[in-house]
Amino acid sequence: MPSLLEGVQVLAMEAGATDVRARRRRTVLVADDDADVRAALAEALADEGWDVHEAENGREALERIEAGAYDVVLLDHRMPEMTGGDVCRELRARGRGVRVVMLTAAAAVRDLAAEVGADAWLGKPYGLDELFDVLERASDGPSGRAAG
Amino acid sequence: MDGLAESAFEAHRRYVSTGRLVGDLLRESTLRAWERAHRLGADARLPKAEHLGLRETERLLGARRDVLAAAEPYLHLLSRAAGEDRHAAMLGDASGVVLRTLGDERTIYGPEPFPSAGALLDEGVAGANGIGTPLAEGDYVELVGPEHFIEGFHAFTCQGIPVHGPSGERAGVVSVSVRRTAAAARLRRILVCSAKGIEAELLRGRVEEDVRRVVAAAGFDEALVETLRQDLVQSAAAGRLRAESAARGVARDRLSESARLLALAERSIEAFRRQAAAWFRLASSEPAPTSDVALHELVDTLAELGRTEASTRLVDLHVDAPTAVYATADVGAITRALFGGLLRSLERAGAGGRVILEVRRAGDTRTVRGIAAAQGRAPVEAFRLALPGGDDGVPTGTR
Repeated sequence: MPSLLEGVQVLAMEAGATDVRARRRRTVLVADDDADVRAALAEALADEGWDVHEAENGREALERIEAGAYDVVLLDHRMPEMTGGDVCRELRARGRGVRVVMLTAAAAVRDLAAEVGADAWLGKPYGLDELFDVLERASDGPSGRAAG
Repeated sequence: MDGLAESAFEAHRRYVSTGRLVGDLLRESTLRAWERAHRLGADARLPKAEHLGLRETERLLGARRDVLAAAEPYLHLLSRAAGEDRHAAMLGDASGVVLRTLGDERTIYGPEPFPSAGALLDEGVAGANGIGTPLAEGDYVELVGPEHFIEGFHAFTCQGIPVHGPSGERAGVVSVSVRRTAAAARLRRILVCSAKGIEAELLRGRVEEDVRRVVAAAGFDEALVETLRQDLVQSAAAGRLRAESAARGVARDRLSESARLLALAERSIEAFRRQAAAWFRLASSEPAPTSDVALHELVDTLAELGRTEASTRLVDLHVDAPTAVYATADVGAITRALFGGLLRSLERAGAGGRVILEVRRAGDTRTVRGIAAAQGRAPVEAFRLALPGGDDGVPTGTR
């Protein structure tokens, strides 16, 4: 029979284990053709506890999404091979409900996001705190609706 | 207190008791600031800054919305970089009035309230300080503790740097103040980068206004100009993102990684400035007097501006400019001609193709050629621009 102190430790460990399970590292795919931007985003997101994967163009992003399971995808719009908008449109056409956040400097960012079926969008330039906020909301909410 | 602060403390003590400036106890820039403050009648015994009235402050904040909006992300970034240190990041207008202060709770709301919006920090009122002195010096300035002219500021080490608007006019000043001098040294480069970032944000505001002028002046398709605007904004956005990542790194003591990110941030901001300058020339339809134009640099910048467009069209774009080449020309007119040529070259090359922008000197003539090669096809000349030679340091006859 464990002592009172050992019992407290066991309870604490169990509570900790539950906490860890509840806060599973969520995965994010960062798709941007600018390697330095990708690296800066990846590092900041990893610091926030995200498991970060990267794609350097739209086609690679699409392939990775098809092959893996992501909680959320960050898609830059202006990318070679396929634009972020094209990737999102294709995902929706294939019935993929993965949550997508569009990153763009387009003036009509809201219309673009709604048109391609993104869950959320961020207009450039954006700050990291704004990005974390949008990611939290996008990864928690239902997929398929654009919100800033 | 270190040697610098001890000397300044003694200089301040003597100034307050005798009214005399002891030059050899102060750094050169601090001495200049104290001399100005003395001449302008600032009171070294002041416990805190004087303030504008509430209504006047509100009017000022309304009038300077542009610089406030441009600076806000960078003030947050500076505050984040300061981390756990007691600190304040400040924005002042071009006359030394504080527009915004941001910092930790004790500094902003504590028993020794830090200057807030409306505080008058012009040297004539507040003496040497992190807002008024950079404005007076026109450059980066650091003031350690007692180097501040008024006693109320002695607890802080402040550093500030002026910020300029799109036409080079003084738009304001950004500063950061910390209790620990050691913390100040870590923030210097972030502060300098923040000033450049704020200037880039002010420039971005003007770029956004210029889309229609570029369409009208350069005759490009509106949709294309909008995508180019997006690419231009991307450089500014990348700069901000990298600067913010660097600030987070400083707060976490990852100093070498932060230095690398800051260098990247500065590179992005500099690229944005170059591209924005080219953009404004695209937007201008008015003839300018001819001058010596660095063709190799101009072609490089235009290639930078068109690189994402090339990449989305799946065209490989290169610049071949082995030497510095100067031409005598109207820089606005050749910017529009070259960019039009670049777009035609991309069109000719098509997906999977390749474009080389070639800059050459031949006798007294300078040429830029766009050579386009469609996939699997021989290269063709898509455009050629020939200009009279400028002063590129090569004697006539050998050019």
